[in-house]
Amino acid sequence: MSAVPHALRLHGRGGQGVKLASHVVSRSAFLAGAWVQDSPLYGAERRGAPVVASVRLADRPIPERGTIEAPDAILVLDASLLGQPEAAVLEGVGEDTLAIVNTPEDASSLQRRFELPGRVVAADLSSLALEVVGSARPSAPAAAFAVRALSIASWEALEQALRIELGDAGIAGELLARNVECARCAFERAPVLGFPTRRPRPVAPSLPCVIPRLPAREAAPSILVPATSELRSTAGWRVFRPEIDLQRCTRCALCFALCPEGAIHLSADATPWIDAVHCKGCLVCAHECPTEAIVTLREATP
Amino acid sequence: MTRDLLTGNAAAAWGARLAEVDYVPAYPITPQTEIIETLAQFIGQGALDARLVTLDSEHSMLTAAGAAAAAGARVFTATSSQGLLYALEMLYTVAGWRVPLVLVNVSRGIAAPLTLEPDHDDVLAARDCGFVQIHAATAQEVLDSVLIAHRLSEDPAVLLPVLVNLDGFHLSFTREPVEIPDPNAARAFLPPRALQEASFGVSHGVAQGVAVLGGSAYSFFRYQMQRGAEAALERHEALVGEFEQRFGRRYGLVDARYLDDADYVLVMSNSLSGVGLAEVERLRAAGARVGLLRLRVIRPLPQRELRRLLLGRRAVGVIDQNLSVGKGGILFTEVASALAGPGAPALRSFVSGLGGRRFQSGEFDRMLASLQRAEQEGGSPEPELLWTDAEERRMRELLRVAGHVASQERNDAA
Repeated sequence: MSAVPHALRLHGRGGQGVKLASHVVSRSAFLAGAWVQDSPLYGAERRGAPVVASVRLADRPIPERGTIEAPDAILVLDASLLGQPEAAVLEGVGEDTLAIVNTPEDASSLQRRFELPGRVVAADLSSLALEVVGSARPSAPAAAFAVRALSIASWEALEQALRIELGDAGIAGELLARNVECARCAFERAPVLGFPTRRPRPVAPSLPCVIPRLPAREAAPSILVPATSELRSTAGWRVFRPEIDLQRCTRCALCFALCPEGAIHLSADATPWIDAVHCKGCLVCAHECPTEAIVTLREATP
Repeated sequence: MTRDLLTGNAAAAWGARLAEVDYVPAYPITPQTEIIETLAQFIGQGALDARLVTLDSEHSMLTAAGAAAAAGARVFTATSSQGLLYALEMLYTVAGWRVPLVLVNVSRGIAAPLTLEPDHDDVLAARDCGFVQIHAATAQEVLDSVLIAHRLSEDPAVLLPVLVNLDGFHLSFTREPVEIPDPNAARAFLPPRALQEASFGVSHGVAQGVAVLGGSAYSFFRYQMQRGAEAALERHEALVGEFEQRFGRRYGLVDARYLDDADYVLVMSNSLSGVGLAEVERLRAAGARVGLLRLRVIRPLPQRELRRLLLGRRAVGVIDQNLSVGKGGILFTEVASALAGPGAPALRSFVSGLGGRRFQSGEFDRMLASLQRAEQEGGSPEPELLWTDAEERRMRELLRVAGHVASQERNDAA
């Protein structure tokens, strides 16, 4: 372990276990004798919304705080975030940053598509989780994959960390066993790379900007026009997508009434249709449809 | 224009009446209640066309005030002491909304121990919330400051709420002659509020005070409040010039007395600065070159004005009627920071007037002597807590009556 902290930043979506994955990584290093620090960035968390967590590892107390600005490695639990600038997955990512991405796509294609500047390692951890655990939540295999790829800790330390951290999250019995098994598969599948050696970054000059005096009405934190939330697509929040089978649909409008996002609309003849830009994939509609006319399809990686 | 005897509270109510306010959210507390009662009377007589609503707390009162102001109403409200502290969360919130309103605070010491009498710990607890603060020394100044406060608050470059402070008892319940401006003259100075585009109504919604996760956006809006407060300093100078033209009374950011040749300056605020002025005149008659500076606009702090008037003096003493427990006088800290750098005079800190404590005349001689020593020995950050032998003896007696055995007696018994 080095004197300068190694910095791993995790990106994913609310509900994927990003914070839990960060805890497993840091606990593994802690059990292996490192000084560690983990911190999630809390905001208006919602299932599917972008989530960030930071893990720093060193051989001595760590003076830095806050979200990592220039990571040695990033662990991306949902590849669709790479295409969303507001998720800032690539912030501070340079040629010497290692990117570990949970995706069925191969690494070179991913690298071209998102112009990733550094080395990319791709692994389809969601499919592994679906297969072994029965859920698409990739926190345990993603943490295990990263621990192995970055040479953070042994399997013994990782397994103990999984039992502690998943246990604290209320995961026990058969579910815990399957998660540990899934993590073991991911651990064995990972290439052993270690943290990349990064060149020291020059300190960027700070260019001062004088805060202007704006007319007070413009200087108030208010929004004067309605429906600005329509400008934002939440399509990428979905793991599964609902689709209405109009042959089975009885036009009862329950889905329209129960959609918590107002993303289901009725045509003039009462036929429901789903606004794919604003549907967050909660699947309340599919759960409530009395004729089971709403099917759920896994979102394909584009 | 008419001339009448008014208490400070009645003067505040008259200010709101002449400002032709639309809405008065209210919650009573001694020594502020008379303001609400007087306004209720004005409304009952048909002399003021406003809606007065009693709320369940000062917290709700400030929320209602801010919401009505955002909807375009001219809003006046008033509180004191514990009420101001209870509303403190909403003071920050409505200031952040950038809406104009006027809040009168009638200063009263904060419990515990409980008191009804004045000091400035209450109003200075609201120092950092984004409200402009004007501290008045006379009933006339209270009335005039309420009119000036509405103009300043509604200025498009400012749009910050304004607090007008007056001392409980010394001013709130004390009658003195006040010139009441003619309503037409007041209206010419303060026309009805221009409805702002950002005001919301039933037909157009506005999201006010939205969440801005991310430090840069939050900093931007907070920095803009600082810019608005800076604008308030400049706009105040223009407004008081116009006020003087119309009404013949001049109000500065500070009130400087006998400063032209003063080697030593005492800094005070609010109504007891009148006591200070009389003492300064007595000391000058005995040959001391001493002056008095009364802080009037305390937020934004007129730092440039303080530097202009105080740099190069031999020594400056700040008399605080407040106590930041564990530090000392709050205004001392403010003045000392404003004067930092070359040419700063030796500084001394005095605390008195807590819970309405009266100044002893001789204490001003002591403070002058302290400033003269400071000139030789240098300044000190340690506050001198004004207290006398007679007060000490009286307190010993009260403690004995309350069942506390003096430590000397305890030793004798043992």
